[in-house]
Amino acid sequence: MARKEKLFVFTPQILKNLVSKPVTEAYPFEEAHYTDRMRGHIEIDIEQCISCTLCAQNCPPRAIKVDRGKGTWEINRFDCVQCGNCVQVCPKKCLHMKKGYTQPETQKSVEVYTRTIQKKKFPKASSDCVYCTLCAKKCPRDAITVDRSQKLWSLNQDLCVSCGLCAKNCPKKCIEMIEINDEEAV
Amino acid sequence: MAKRSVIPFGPQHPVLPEPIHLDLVLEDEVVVEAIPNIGFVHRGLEKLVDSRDYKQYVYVAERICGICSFGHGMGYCESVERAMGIDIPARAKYLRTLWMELSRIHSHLLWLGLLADALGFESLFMQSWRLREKILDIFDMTTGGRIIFSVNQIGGVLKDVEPVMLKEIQKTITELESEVKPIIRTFLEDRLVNMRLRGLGVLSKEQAYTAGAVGPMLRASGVAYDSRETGYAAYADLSFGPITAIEGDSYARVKVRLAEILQSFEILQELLGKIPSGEIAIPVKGNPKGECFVRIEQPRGEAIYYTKGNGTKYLDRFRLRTPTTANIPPMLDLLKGCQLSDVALLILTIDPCISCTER
Repeated sequence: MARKEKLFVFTPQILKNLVSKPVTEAYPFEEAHYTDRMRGHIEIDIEQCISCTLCAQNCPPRAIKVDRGKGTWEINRFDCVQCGNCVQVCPKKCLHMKKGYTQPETQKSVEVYTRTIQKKKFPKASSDCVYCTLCAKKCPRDAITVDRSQKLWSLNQDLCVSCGLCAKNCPKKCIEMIEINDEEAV
Repeated sequence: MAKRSVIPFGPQHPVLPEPIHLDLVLEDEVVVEAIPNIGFVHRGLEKLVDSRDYKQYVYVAERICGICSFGHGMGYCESVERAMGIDIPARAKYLRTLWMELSRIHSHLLWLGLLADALGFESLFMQSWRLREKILDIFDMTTGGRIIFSVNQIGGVLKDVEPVMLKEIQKTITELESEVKPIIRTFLEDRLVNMRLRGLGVLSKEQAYTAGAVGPMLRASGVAYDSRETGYAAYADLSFGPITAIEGDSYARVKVRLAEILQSFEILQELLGKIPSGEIAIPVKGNPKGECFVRIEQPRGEAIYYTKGNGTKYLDRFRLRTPTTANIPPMLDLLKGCQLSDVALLILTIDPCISCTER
């Protein structure tokens, strides 16, 4: 069998590489370049946060902890895998995936953010309601039940996270976010 | 008869990127039997379907392995989508295929580099990885991650690839097509590479078939089987065929993988010309019920994804059979009768991915 076996096949490429520039960045000596879509770290706009806990429930490595009573939002940067699922599920869009990495640390620590506690608001449908079920469809927690035949609109307050998506998406603008009593406030 | 001795190989060995242990039974320098032992990097990821809901599990599935990452996410999504009867938008299908084919090129280039390193050909190793860097840059630009993309979701994909990016991808792959030629020529024609690989570890067509080899390992032995032909994602719209070789030796396995890189470039060019516009995902409500079984051609071979839903948001079972699991028995066949010094190279030619295998 005739084989095409040669020596020094790769030598031209080696010589070419000798005179060409390196393809990687010499990072600590020059600035690193990040692309716009880079999944670097999570940032929170804490004043927009309503402590709905959806991010904590949907975090695959359970790196986020939310305390509704104290109004805190905690992230363990060492557990976070930058999947961006919390950004996807946040109903208030107060979580953002930013480019660039966080600083390395010698000890594992948890970052805590505290929001100003506001009275909890629940949605209430007025008599203008046409039972279109859009609010129920948009609810991230399935807290709203609409029965078109019985003309019933009901809310499960235990499930509701006061995100206000129902009020925002109501075509008749008949849903209002109403504060509840002080003793029930969280 | 010569005296038999047992030599442990691995789990830590310079040629292996990941831990696998083999007990090699030797007669003089010749291996008579190899007894494998795996389980050093088991993380129990399949069990996590019990405590992560089916939408969150996508992110777990793609972290099973760093190199086949996108394929695992896609395979899992495909199986859940089929179980739920969801038909995803055409653009999402094409985008998945785009990322999958780019993954194949980057995985094969990585493997070629590792092989060159095992042969002691350092400059060829560096050149292969240098080209792979360009593919990783495409991933970084389109998905935000170089290795783990997190772009799959049940019902489609999360990020769209804009026309500017598609042009950029087309430009890069056209450049790469010419830049990859010197590497291919070196692997096929260089005397040193030929001397090490020709006739080493011959796996006959029958052996490959009975032992259940998959992927380039199976095709290098002359069996024309490629599970991309089952037509998942957008593969049904694209024209390609399985690439085979008849020799069945290590050289043939290199040849098949090199040809697959070129084939992936062709598939990508065709795909970039055909990609439709429109939605990239559809909203998914409800929970999966019933079971589904999907086959996907990963760079290393055929992977099988099985999901079983029970109507709640947690799946009953997720099972993944990875290509390396299937390729270990034929690898043991190859090791019988080979020289001790060839063991490392033979293990490498199956392109082992141990973290996939152990999950």
